[in-house]
Amino acid sequence: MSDRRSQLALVVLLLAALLAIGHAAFAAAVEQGPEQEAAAEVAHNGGESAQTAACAQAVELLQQQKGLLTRELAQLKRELALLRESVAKPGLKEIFSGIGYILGLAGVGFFVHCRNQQKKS
Amino acid sequence: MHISDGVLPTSVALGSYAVAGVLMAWSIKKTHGDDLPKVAVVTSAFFVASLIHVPLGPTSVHLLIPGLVGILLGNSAFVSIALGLTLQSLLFQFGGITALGANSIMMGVPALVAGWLFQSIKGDTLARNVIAGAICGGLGVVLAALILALLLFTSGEEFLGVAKIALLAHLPVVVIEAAVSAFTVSFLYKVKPEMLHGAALTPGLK
Repeated sequence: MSDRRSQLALVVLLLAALLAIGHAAFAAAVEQGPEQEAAAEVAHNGGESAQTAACAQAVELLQQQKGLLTRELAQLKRELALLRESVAKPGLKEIFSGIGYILGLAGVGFFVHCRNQQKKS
Repeated sequence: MHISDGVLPTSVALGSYAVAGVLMAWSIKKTHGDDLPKVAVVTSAFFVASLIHVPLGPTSVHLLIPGLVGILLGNSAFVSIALGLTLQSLLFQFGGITALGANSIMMGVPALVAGWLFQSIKGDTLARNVIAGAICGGLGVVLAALILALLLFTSGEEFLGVAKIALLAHLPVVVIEAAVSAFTVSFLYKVKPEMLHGAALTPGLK
């Protein structure tokens, strides 16, 4: 029971905090009001040309970013290909394990050969 | 020069496995027990030689040395090459497991031919031995390229086109292997001439 009560108290407290933040924001907005209105008026006076200019600027910025990203991605891909190649390339481990296999098999062959010879003699 | 998985039709892959198996059994039977260390050393050399790349324009080709293996091992060459190729395909991912029979024939038959030819033309003098070594070393690669073209012919490629490309691409390898074989033969002729008699012919070891 006390659990539910404490939960309820927490919710109320949170609501109060939210209300307080909202109020502060509203007050700030009212304070900034005249300035924002002036800015909006200027933009309106500048007409649609200013808006399209801003849009073009944004598009240009985006394209610049895209070019940069493409270049970096290409570099990463190249590095990935190089890495893949170096991983696929046989290293010392493979070489020595192969030689070990060969010598081991030769040893087995020798063993069989010796046993046959011993049987004969 | 190796055939990858899935290039050859199944019937050819299976057939080449059967032929390679027969050749392998014959080669093992012909291998004398006392020659095993030599076989092992030459097999190791063959196994590693494929890692020596020769830069050639944009691409690179690697040493194959079937001719040299044939010269040094004679009839045992097929065992050596089949084992070397098996380990190469398992450890280096050179060629596919399903094409192993075809690859063994492609490398092993030239080795056997080179070995027989070397024994019949080497003569007694150093000069003749060296020339025979060079011819057999180069011939090994040429024959391997021709067998490659023949095997790819069964998968629907045009024989002459493939043969031409394979031979052209391996022309530097032919030259280099002829030189390597000649050098090896001249060295062995001076230091240990009995190594050039071929494995099955090694006399007086028993």
